Amino acid sequence: MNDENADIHTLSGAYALDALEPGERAAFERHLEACEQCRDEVRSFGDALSVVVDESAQEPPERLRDSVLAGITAVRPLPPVTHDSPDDVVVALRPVRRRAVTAALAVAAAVLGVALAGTAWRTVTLQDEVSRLSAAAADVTTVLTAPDARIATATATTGGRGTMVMSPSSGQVALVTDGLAPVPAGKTYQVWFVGRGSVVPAGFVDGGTAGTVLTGHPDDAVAIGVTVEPRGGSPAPTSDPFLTIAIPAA
Amino acid sequence: MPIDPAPVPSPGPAPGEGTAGLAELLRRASRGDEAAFADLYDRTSTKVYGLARRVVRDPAQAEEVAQETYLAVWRQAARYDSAQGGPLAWILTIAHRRAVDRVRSAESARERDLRFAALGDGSDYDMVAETVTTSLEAARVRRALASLTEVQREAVLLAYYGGYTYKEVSELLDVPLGTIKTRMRDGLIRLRDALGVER
Repeated sequence: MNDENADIHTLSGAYALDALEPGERAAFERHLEACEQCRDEVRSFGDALSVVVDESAQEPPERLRDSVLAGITAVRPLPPVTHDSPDDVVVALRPVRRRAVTAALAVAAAVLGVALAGTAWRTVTLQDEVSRLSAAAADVTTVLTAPDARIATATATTGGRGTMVMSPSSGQVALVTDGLAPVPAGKTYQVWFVGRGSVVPAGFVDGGTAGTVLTGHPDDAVAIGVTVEPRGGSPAPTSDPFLTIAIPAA
Repeated sequence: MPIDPAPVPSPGPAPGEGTAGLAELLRRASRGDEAAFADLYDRTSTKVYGLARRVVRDPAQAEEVAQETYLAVWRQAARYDSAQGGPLAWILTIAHRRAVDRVRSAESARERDLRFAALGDGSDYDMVAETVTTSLEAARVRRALASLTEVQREAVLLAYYGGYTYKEVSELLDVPLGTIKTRMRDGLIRLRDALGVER
C-alpha cells in the first residue's frame, strides 16, 4: 500500500510533462484531488515549464491572430464550474436547450469561419453561416449536439479544411468539410478510419462545404483520412490522403 | 459591502506585465470581453505558437494547435483556477497537451523513431542553446536547463518537446520505468528551483 502510494507520487513529473498515457493520467488526476503535496508540485512544475517555453517563443503568422479573434465571436464562454479540470483541453459542445441545432451549428460555423479566415476573411453573419451549413449538416446535428462531442480540424493539402466531430458516448463521428476542391470527374472523395495497422472505409464526402456522419468507428482508429477514389469507392485507399484529421485523445 | 466588484477600467498603467495582468485579462475574457482576449492573445501568442512549433514541427499544424488552444481558452476562461498555477502555465498546458495528442495520434512508429533520432543525445538542447543568446529570459532558461544532469535533461526534453510518454522514453533509452519517472520529477524540481519558481 505504501509502495503504491510512493509510486504514484513520483508520477508528478511525468504528469506535468504530459508524458502519462490516458489511463494513468486519469488515475493521477484522481490522486491529485487527494494529495496536496502532488498538487503543489504539479503547480510549480507547470509554472517552471511556462518559463522554459521562453526559449521557444516564436512570432506566429499575422493571419493566426485574425482567425483566432474571428473564431471566438460566435462562441460563448462557458460558465464557471466548480471542480472542473482546468486541463480539460477538449472543446466540448455543451448540450443546449431549445436552440440546440442553431447553437451547435454556430460552433461548427465558428470553426469553419475560422478556416475561411486563413485565406480571406470576409464578414459573414452567423445566420448566413448557419443557413449555409444547415442543408449540408442536417444529419450531423445529432453528433454536434452530443453532450460529449469533441472537435478537431485540419487543413487539406489541396485547399479547404475538414472538421471532425466525434461523440464517444454514441460512438459516432461526423466530418464537416469546407472549401474542398470540387470532386474530379469520375472520382469520389472517400473517407477512411485509420487505425494502427488497419484502414477501413468510413463513407464519402462531397467537395465544397459538406457534412456527413461516418459509418463504423473502429476502437483503434487514431485518425480519419480522405482520398480521391474512382467513382463508387474502393475497398482500400488507392491514393494518399489529401486530408488527415487526428482523432483527439479522450 | 461589495460582494463582487466589477473590474474598474483603470486609466493608469496596465496592471503589471506579469501574471496578475494575464489573470485579469482571463477574467474579463470569461465574461465575453473580446478586447481583453485580443490583449491576452498578443501577450501569449509567441509562446503558444512557439511551443506548438517545437512539438509538432510543422508550421501549418502548429497554427491549428494554436487556434484550437485559443478557442479552448476562450471557452474555458471561467474555469481557470489560480490555485493550480499561473494563467500562462494554464494556457500553455492546454497548448502542450493538444500538440502532444496530435503528435501521438498522427504519427507512425517509424516517423517517431526518425524523430527520436533527430532529438536524441541532447542535440536538440544544444541547438536551442546556440540559438538563444539574445534574450535574458532565454539565457536564464538555458542556465536553468544546464543545472540538470544530462540524463535528467534528456528525459524532460524528450517528453516535453518530443511528445514521448515516459514509457516510450524508457524504451527508447532502455532504462527502467521507475528511473525515468524519477529523472523527470527530479529534473523538474531542479529546473523549478533554478528558475526560482515559487513552490
